[in-house]
Amino acid sequence: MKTVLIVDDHPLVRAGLRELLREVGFVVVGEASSAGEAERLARELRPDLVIWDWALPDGGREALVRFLGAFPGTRVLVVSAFLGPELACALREMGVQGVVSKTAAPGELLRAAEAVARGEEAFPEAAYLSPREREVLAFLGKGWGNAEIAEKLGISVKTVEGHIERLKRKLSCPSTAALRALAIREGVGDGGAGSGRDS
Amino acid sequence: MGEQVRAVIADDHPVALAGLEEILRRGGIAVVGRACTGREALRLVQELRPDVAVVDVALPELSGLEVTRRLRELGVPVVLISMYDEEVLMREAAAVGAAAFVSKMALPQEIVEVVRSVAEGQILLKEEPSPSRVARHPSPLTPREREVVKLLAEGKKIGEIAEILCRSPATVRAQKASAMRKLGVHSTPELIRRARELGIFPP
Repeated sequence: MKTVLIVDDHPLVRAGLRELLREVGFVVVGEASSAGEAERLARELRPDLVIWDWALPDGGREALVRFLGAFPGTRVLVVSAFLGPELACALREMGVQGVVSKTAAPGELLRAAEAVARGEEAFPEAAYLSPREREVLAFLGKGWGNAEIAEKLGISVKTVEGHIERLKRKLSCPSTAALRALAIREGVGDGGAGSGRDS
Repeated sequence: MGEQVRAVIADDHPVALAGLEEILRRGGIAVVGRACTGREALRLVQELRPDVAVVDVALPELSGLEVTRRLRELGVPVVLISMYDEEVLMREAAAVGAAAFVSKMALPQEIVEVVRSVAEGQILLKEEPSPSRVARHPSPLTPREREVVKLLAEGKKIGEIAEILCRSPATVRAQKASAMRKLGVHSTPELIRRARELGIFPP
């Protein structure tokens, strides 16, 4: 029996998570509506798994990093309404064990929760982009061509093409145009979540 | 004891949909249909003829507002729900003929009470929100913050926005940060999307 702490500021979302998790055998031991409350409850309840809403009013990178530092043994699955490659990568680097989209089907969400509770990682493929791949993706979003990107990064066009092929595969994009569209849609390199840069 | 209230619910977030069902079920309301898109919601309501439809504002295919407009013609009252507690949205909801507007931040018992009242024929939203209602739900962004968000949505950079608005980049950055904090978002794309959903500017 794995114990879970749900951290989300929407009572309705908490009720949904509680119900879904309960159905597959998790024991929901606590619910918090803020990062501050989550810390208090985690200290008291020592849950096996924490489901953490990325959009908490007092949340964000600092709050999550603080939480992870305070509870190193606790496994954390982040839930986010907006899940672009930058956020997925940033969360993985912060040290959480998984992230799942708020719009995911219940089955997908529960598979992620079970994997993280078992000690595995649960990230989309997009969380495994290298820093170079992210740079290339950002330039694609700005409309740059392969030669321009190669010159800017001081690498060969062939290498840029290699990065683009890997990006297509990791992000399930059939074409470079689809990658460009994704980069624009997700604001990659534009002060996206966790990049710490301003736009 | 009267007959149990029958509701159709619609939300594109499966977790929120599950939560809504659970809250209503515990409140003694029967959820007879669940939809993930606006079209599905419309179809289910036409087919099942519930006492009330509980519809998320931000539905794909057919927006919650459009669904509400059509359901009003069918004579099924609608409770619009939203992730955001915003005066602008409440006014929109009233304009399309929703019987009530409730935030997902509301407590479960509050949601149940609103749905029950609406199923019983009450209209909780007036065309113009009363001053007290507005005062209780102040708009989160200042006009200056809105300007910054709007320009960000147009693809402008901080430096350009600073020039357009005759402010320093530091001020613009601070206003952007403040808007992000208020809307509970952590990136520029999220800020823009959420501001759009709030109706701060047209999509």
